[in-house]
Amino acid sequence: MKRILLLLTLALTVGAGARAQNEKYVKAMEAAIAKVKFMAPKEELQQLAGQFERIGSAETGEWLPAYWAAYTYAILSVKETEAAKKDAYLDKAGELLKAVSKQQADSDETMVLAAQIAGARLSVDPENRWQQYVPEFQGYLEKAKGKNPDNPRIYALQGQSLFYTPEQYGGGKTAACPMLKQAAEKFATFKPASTIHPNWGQDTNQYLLSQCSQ
Amino acid sequence: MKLVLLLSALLLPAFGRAQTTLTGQVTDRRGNALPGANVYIKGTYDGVNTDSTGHFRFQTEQRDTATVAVSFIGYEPHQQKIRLDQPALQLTFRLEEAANLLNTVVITAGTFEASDEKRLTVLKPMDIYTTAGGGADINAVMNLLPGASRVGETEGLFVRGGSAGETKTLIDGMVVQNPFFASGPDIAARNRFPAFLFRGTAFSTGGYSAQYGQALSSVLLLNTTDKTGVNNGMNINANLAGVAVSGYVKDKLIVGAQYTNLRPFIGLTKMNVRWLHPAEAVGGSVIYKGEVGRNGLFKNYTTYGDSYTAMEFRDFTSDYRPVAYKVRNRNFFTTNTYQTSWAEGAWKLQTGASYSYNRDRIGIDTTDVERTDERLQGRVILSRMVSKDVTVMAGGELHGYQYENRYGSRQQTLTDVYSAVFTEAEVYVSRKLAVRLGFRGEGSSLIGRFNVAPRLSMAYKTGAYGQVSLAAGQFFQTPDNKYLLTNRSLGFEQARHLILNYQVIRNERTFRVEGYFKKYLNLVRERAAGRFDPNPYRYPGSSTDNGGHGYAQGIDLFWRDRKSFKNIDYWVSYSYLDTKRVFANYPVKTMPTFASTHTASFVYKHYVSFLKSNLGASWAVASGRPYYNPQSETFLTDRTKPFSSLALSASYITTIKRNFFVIYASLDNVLGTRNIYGYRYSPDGSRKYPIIPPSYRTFFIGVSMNIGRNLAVPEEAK
Repeated sequence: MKRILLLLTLALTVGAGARAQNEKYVKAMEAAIAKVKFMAPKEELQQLAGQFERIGSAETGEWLPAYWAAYTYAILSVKETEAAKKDAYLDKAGELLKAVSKQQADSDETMVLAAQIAGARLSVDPENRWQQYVPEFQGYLEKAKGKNPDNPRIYALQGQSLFYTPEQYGGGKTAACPMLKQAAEKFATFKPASTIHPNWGQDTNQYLLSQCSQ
Repeated sequence: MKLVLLLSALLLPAFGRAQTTLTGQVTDRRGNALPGANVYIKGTYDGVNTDSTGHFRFQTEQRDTATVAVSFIGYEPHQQKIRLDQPALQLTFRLEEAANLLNTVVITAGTFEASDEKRLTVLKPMDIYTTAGGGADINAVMNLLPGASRVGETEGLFVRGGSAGETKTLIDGMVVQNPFFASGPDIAARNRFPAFLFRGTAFSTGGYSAQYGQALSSVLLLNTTDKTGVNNGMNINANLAGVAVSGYVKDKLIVGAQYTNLRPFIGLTKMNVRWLHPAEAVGGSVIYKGEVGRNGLFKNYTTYGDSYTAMEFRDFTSDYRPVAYKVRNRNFFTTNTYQTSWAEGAWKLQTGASYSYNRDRIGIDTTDVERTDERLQGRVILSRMVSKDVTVMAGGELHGYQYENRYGSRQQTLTDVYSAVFTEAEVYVSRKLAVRLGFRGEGSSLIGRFNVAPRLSMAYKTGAYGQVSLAAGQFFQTPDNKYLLTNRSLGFEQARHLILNYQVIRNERTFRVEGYFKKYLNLVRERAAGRFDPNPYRYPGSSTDNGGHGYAQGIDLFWRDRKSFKNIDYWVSYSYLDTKRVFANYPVKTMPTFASTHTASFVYKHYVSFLKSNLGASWAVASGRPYYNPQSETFLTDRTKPFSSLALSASYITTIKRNFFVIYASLDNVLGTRNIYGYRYSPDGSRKYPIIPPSYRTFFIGVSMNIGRNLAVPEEAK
């Protein structure tokens, strides 16, 4: 009896510990994710990327910390002005993406993240990089669509890319706005798997859509 | 009791945890603060990114020992074990910079690279399309770079005092036997290969790697693209010279066909030559790419072309009466490459096999000439990254070559088995100093000789953006076919290069200066008695030996600025060349006819957004070249007047239903400058005829339509 009690207590304690750990993980992630915004200052984003990496170093079995770290570095790259630094952030994002793909090779979100990074690579030097990164960007989005056609970020990225592509290259508002609208519809019904799963893109999409009516 | 103990042991971490405060700074090697570095206790969430002064402060509840990890983009990550036995701990970390494209030296002596892979290149792939006066011809654009001489009447690259034959063109490492379309006398032909096929173009003006041989002066390295695009679609390109159609099959295949007819173009242009049949050609090409396994890539590029041209030219070997010159060319080239890597890219294997066939059937007046050559080649390179700083490579090549020449009733054949082995080691002594040392051994069965050539290049980074590079080496080449037909005991011709280069690339501005010395040895010399024969198409009848020699030295300058003015990109290039040689049938050592002392070019590109157009201009100038004047007492001391050509180009880009349309136009030699490339004299020396371009001023216009290739910006568009 004593022995059973001991085992039970032990199991309960360990279980509680694990739950507490999980709760700590989710809380920490939620806190950081809430602050990841395109408009956030660079220093803060750097801090957040660091936080995701730190969480990732402790929670080696989780893929979301690396995912969010990569996403944050991709934003940092877009906000950075110096080309070499942009690429350095994207190198880092690429490494983290690799770690994500090891666990989530088949996830549509992995493909979307890969597309996001390819798109950022392209924007560093579009004139000379389109040959490599346009097909890459498109290819990842196509693959993501194949896995989950309801992922709103696919359409949001496509729309965003069209929005910033000059009209003479097939971009501009006329091409972008229907895509952004489609993204908005998908966002409206999108339910992330948990509070810490990928759920970004709606604010930027909304902002661009608001430009469409102007 | 036991239970209590166990429980308290388990619960202990939850109670009475002592916190440790860690503070300190992260700096680089020199002590400069690194803001934004990530400092944390491994396996916990405890940590922080450093502030704007590189300082950090955080608390941890870990006890006893822990590992602090420090990481920062661009620096080697650092880990350190610490003891957490005090309430506060102060730590300083110095991070080592990681090797990257910005802080690591790259060997650049003698190379102009157009690539988007390395971020610090002087040229970008699109430059080949957007340069006025370049006509989307790879060679014409390379001619606007320092180191190349302007020789308007002959195709090919004349690099640093070298003849066109001293430059080899390679596609994915495989020798291209006939990189140019067939041409007529005194007319420079275009490169056969459309520039959009290549993701990278490197024009080496000397001192190149042991991977390449059989070129005394220069190699033009073309690397086919690995991507074919994500969409199915097609491109139709129609212009004054013909129509080309290509179809794209997603990720796999490009199939193209073209029909060329210069009649409309010639009809619009005032020509200096009388065309009996303006160039007409049909051709087709296939590019296939397939992934093999996880890291393997197979590529095939095959092209076929058939062309016919006929014109009138003045026969400078007899009485200068106009005679007909007809050339029918058939060309086939296929190259297959396979590359793979394993052990995380530490091992790399590149293999290739290619076959080329070229036949020219030439009719000069009443004489028929037929030249055929065939080359079958195989190539293997294995490279191994021994450590982060050391890469070694070894490889080999084997070529079977056959050349047949029929002139009237005379027929001659050459057969050569050429083999080469090479090895090279690249060592980063530090991030600032890189050294590459290689050896190449080659043998030719035709002349029964073997040679070993050392190659050395190194680079040292002098600052954040500048670096000096040095290259030296020995280069061998089998003598020209026309000599081997009559003398197979000739040895290899030889050149030795020494190049010193300084380069700064900062913020899309590039400055380069390169000084070089090149020594020529064992050049083939004709021991002709009597009068000098200036005919460049002659076949030597006299005895030959390797008694020729010479030198070339000079300075090349290059400045490019893509940053200072919005939407404007310009470059300036200047070359000074001092060269003399005695070779071929030259009686004395002198400056050869294909050299200019001063060559300069100015290239300007401007994107005008409200016109949706790219506008470009280029101006090429060169001092006069030597020509042979039989009345002159000294050999090749007469000079033509300077060369000058101003070219304009414009392209307008638009989309119709998400399909791209690009309209492009160019005007070469806008000012109609009467350039003269040299003179020919009647055999008695009494009459003088200038060698002039086929037309002084040319106008060209075309349209390119891309259908179903959404978002893929067409190659002409930028």
